[in-house]
Amino acid sequence: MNVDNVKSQMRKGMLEYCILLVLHKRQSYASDIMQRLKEAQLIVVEGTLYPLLTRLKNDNILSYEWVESTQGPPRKYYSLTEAGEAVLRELEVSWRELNETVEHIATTK
Amino acid sequence: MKKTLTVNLGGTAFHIDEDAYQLLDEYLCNLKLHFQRQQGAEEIMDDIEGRIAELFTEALRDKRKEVIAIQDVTLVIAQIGKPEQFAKPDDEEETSEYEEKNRAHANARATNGNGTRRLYRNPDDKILGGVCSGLSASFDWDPTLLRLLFIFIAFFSVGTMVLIYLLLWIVMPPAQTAAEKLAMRGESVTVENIGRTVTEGFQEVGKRVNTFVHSEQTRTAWQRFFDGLVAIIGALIKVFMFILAIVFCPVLFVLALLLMLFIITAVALVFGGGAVLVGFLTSTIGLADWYPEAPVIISVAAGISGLLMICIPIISLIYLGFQLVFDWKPVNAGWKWGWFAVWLIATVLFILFVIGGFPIDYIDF
Repeated sequence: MNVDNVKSQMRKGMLEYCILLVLHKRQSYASDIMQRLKEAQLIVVEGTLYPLLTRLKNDNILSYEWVESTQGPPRKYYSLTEAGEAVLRELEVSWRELNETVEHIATTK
Repeated sequence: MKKTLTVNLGGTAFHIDEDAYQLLDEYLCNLKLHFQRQQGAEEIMDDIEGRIAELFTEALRDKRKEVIAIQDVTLVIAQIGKPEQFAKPDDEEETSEYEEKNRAHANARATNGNGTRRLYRNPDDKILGGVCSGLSASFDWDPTLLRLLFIFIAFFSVGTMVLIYLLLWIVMPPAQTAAEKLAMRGESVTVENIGRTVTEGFQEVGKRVNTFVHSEQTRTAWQRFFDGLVAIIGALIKVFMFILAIVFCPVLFVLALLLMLFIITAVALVFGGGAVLVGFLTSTIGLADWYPEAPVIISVAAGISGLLMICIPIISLIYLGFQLVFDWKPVNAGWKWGWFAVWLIATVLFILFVIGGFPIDYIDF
């Protein structure tokens, strides 16, 4: 068993859920999201994030608007769409279930 | 002093050093290559370009500079990451299928089967044509050792080795694309590997300015001594070839002049049919002796076609040699085929006129 591989698989599965959590009821632009995810050690390099955001946007889970920036070019600020909020609720439920399952297996021997 | 360029990144203009530009350009190409199979690749690239613009703006403001240097680009690349650091997309199946296709395609082009190496000249590390460097990359030899061996043999083989080297130079294509460079080293051609070559490749651009020989391993003093020796011998050979070219230039010039002279005489003949010219031609070629009964026009036509038949290959061979040594622009295909057609016609005519004697017997003048 490749431990690193399993760990990265786990993180990868969490990634989208975490992006949605970051964006829940709060507009953010890519670097903010990046910062949060980096702190949580979910992402190492920024290049991973951009394709993901684009895909989520194309799936109509995220939307964005251009916001003028005081420093440099305007930025894309992402937020959750209605569908995105629904997906987040769904994911929250399944995350809780998953957590409970793991807890249950870990505690009952 | 460094040359700078102006680039437009996500709508902002930046002054950027030339080496930094090269690094950035290859990095972006590399990313494009990585994302091309994903949906919305253009948008991803736009986002990344915008992000790079932002990082550059910050870097310029923090350091109070006006020009992006190569260090800034390196930092940006570290922050955004190389393709091989990115997590693989979820659609694994699609990816592997794509990679398989990609590999098959690259194999068809660069290698015959998995991991088979192909001979390429190495343009990144060359003394003359990159032949030795390419060979040693293919067989994991030390290029300097192979070069010394070539020079050593060249001394004792009375020119045979020189011929072999020139032949290899002509036969081996240069490894230009990343896929070809990988095939040269016998590494399998995958997107990640291509990315690596590109990222490795542009780091060498900066290094190459100062160091002539580069390698991943550090070189011992003796190896560096021989590297230097090879570089000096290479420079001497280049000087020698240059002198040779200067010597040969008049010869080439005279040949071209002769050819032009004969073309002019041919034209003059058609219009005027000057007896002096005819006499000159027939006496120089000596056709009058072979076919005393041949009409003058036939001898002249045979003479011209014979001359074309001989001169075109010689001149093109000389030109080819010069082109290889001095990086002359290759002749475009139209001219190549045009000259080939002229040569073919001349050859056929010559054979008909002189050897076959066909028109003399059957055409009534």
